[in-house]
Amino acid sequence: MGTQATADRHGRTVLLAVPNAISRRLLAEAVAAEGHRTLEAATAAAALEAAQRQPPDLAVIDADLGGMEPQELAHRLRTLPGATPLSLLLLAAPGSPLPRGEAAAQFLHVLSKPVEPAELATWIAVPLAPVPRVSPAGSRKPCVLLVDDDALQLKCVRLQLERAGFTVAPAAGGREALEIAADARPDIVVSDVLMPEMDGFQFCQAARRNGRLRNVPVILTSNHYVEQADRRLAAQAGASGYVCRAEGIEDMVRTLRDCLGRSAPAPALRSDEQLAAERQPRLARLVERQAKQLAAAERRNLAQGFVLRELSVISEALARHEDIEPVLQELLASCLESVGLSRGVLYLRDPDGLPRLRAHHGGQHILSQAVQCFGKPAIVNAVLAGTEPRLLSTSTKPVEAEQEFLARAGARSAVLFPVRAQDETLGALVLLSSTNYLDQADWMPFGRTLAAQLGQTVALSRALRTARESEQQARSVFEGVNDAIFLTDDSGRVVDANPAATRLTGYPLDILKERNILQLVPDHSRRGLLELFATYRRTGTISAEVPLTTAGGEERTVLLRGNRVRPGVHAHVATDISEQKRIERQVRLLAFTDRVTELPNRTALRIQMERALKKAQESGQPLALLLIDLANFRDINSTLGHLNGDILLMQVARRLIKNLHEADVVARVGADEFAVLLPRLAQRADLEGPARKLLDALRPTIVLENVPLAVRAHMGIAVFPEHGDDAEALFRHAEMALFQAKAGGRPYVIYEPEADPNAQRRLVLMSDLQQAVGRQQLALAYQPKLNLATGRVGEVEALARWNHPKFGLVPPNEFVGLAERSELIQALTGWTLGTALRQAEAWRREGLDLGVAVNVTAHNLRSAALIDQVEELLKSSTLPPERVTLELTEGALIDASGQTLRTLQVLKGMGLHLAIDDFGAGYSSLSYLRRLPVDALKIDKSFLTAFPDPSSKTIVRAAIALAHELGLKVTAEGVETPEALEVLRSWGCDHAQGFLISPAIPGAQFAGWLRASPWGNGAANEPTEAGGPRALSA
Amino acid sequence: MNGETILIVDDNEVNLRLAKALLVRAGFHVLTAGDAEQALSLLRGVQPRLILMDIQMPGMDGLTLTRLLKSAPATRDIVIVALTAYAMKGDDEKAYAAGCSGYLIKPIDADTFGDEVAAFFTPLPPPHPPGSQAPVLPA
Repeated sequence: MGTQATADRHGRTVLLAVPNAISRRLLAEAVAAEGHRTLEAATAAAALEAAQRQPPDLAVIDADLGGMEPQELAHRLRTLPGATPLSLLLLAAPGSPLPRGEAAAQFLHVLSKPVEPAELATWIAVPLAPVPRVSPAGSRKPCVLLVDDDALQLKCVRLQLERAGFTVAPAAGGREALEIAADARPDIVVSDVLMPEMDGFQFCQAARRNGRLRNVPVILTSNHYVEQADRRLAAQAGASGYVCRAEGIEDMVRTLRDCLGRSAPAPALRSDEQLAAERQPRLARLVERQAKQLAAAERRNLAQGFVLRELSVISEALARHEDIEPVLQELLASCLESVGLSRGVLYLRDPDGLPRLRAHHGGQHILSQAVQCFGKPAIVNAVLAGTEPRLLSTSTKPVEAEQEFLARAGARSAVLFPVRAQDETLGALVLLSSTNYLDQADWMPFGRTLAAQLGQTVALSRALRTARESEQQARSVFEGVNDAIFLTDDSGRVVDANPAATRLTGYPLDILKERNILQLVPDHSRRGLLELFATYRRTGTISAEVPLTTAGGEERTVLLRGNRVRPGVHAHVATDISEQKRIERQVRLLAFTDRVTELPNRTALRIQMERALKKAQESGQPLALLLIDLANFRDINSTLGHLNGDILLMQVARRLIKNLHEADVVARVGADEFAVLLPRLAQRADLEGPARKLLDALRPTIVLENVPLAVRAHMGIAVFPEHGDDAEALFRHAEMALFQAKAGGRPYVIYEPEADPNAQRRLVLMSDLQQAVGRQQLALAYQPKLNLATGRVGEVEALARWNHPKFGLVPPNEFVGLAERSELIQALTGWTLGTALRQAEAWRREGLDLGVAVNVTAHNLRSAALIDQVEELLKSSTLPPERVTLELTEGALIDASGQTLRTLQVLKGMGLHLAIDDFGAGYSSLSYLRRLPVDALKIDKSFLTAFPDPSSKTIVRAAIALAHELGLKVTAEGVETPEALEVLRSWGCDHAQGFLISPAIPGAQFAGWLRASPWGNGAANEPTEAGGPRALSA
Repeated sequence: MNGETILIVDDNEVNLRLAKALLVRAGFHVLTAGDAEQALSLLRGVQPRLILMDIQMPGMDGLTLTRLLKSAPATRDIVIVALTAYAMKGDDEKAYAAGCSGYLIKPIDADTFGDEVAAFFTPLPPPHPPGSQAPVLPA
């Protein structure tokens, strides 16, 4: 550290016990400017502690230091163990009570605030200057008669001489000196030359005639350079020496020591007239020089002090200014102008650390000079990097770089000060002069103080601005967000709310503030919310869907997230998800209910079956699926009209419901087919009772249009686990049993495997599947997905085909199902992924940038093997992971938790895209979509196939809206007509897939097809789907 | 039944027709509306004693419409009975919360529907959870 380095020259330490941080900092700068080390303390206790660590040589004590009287602190500092002789300066505001008597005597001097740097410099120089001692300690101290009309100067020199080992007898003028000479019995006399009444030469001559002083050597002193003529005249007047005070106290002590004991020379001039004639021109010249210098120094000091005083007052006001930096220009100009400096520039560092010119003074040309200085930035940078100022002057032999800097700045002298605050260099202040004016020593403390003050001001302004901005930001976020924010106390009482909260609730702020957040919740949900809050108190966080009642009595659903902001204050953010919930409900209703009977449809039943199967697997309880077919329904429909047919269906549904338990599920699964799921079968034998009961319930005639109708129903039954362990198998087997019942004219049939011709085929397929991969019976075909925004094909879905030597093409559903049951599924998925990735790479080499989508099953997700496979494949592939999509059936995601969710998250983390396949055909909780790391969903083709039906349209449209709401892309599958494509496009659907575009195409033929199609042109240029903005144009 | 006016609000056309037929047969005067908007415009001209409200409809749903009617002085006293789909179990609680006096499950039972609706006109209110507002009927 620079301070340390300069301090080492003298090794003196100054303790500053000053409460005001800025004053203390300014004093420290001034002390450092004199090359001393500082200890800073804001309190008496801190001062004592600092002094204990490092005994100071000088202490400056603020009279307003709290906690202890200054004289008490002075005393304690002096009596600390290991304390060195300590000089004390008292710092007092004008008019503040000062210590008197003995207490006051402890202090060398009282400095009045504000302290000008030059004044401080003088007062710290007195006790701290290294002074050679005149004689060994202990011997009698020689006595100096010190004559000076300037009381301040008298006091300063006296102190210095006393420290040098003299005793001093002060006299305010020649006459007084002659009077006290007899009592003081001086060994030597030191007299100022320029004194009123009797000047130094006259006094010297008078001393030669004085009985007491006749042989006592007299040393004359003046503040200025001593010319030869002066020395000659002094010698003629009988002086033993002539010392310039500006040379320093060492010079004077040396001269005194040399002259001590020698007898005084006899004066060469005998007459007063002679002396008068000689001394007049000398004095005139001295006076002239002194007057000139005094005037300049005084003006300068006055101006500097004034500027600094003013600056400290206005800078804080300025710092509170919106942004001080624009007014720095004015500030710098006025400061420099006031002290008579014509040029100066201020650089402040930008956030990147580079200095930028922020203010300049000295007319337009200074700008170009200031910028030119950057041509040689090493000097500015050196100042920025350090803590010390740097004086450049043509009079002090500047090094080459300095010379160049001065030349570029058009200056003969320059001082650069680092502008610092809180141990950070904010910039640099550069004072420039076209003369060597800046060599004057008092520019150092001035510049240091100015730089320090500027630094404090800028730092304060920046801190205030940051605080203001963050407060404004927080406020504007609070005011501007669409989410309602309620600030509450611990009890839930609202203490503040933002405009969105008043909009959401319909209550004005003053009414909201009278409420507890619990009062905003409808009665039926209050208990639930109380429980939530109980959890909140334990965990400190809340996130739940909660209903809110508005002032208008409307119920809105919000996602409520709460957090403790600080003790006693809680922020509850409520996002209105009513619309989303409404869409969700509607999609659910449309997707999962039969429009006629409003019973669950086949999709909903499958979901319920998946759940029930999971439970049954855990409990080991059997489960039964009953399929009921209405044999004569088609006839009724065609004779009585489909409206009556629908009414008949309603009545059948109603009778089924009436005869079942709450937990049982009734669904309409086909035009004339109902299904009943009995999930709580104690044992297989309990099955026949309910089966008969249901058939009996349907037997009574139903009267439509006054026509009594007898419904003929058949039932096929499959039981878990006996006839299958998944929904697919149970359905197939129940269908088979139903077929047998109808064929055999029996009311119901329970599935019998021996009677099922398909069972044979499955056994063969299962055993052949293992070899199919190796024997190249498996192949992939690719179905293009059209990007509706760009009109290009950017991705394909890979579909596995199995050409069995005996059965021919085996449908994917069938062999994938078999593979899942035999654990072959991992090998199958691995093969599919590998083949698809290699194909995509091959296309890339041909210049086609196509992403590939591969289907993944629930079984894949339940093991970690898929992750290893994907990782392995991506490692050896040049295809970016985001060009690979894994399509997951909704079934695979049911109750996605544990391993499944972890697998999804890892895959997502690897950069892959995840899409939900067959959306609408098997998912239960749409809100669950939010928690899954998926990017897209594919609407099941059954909706598109039934597209002319208005309810299908509603579902598709709502599903698109919902997906976009959740930030997901949407692919519509099964697009078969240009009209459907157009409608989808107008609804903002992202992708379309279907026969209209193309069926799946073997890999080898795909590129050819794409080039010939209207969608392939420039497909290679299609932007990657990943995260790209959705094109707005249709 | 003594010509009381009933409004049925349901987007399921088949159900609307069936319910209307059954209620007309039971002696009620029946109005029908396919959505909330139609219902509101009908209610400007007539004041039914009871509304059968399908609570799950596209556009403004039945629960919202119920709250709206219950908050307006002119329609506050109309008894509203929710029609909830068997597929949407759990809607009954919401129906009470919105101000319904009871609920009937769809699909409706042709044999009993007329009686079930008529029960809401008897002086004894149908069972409803404590705290919800009982229908106030003039004698």
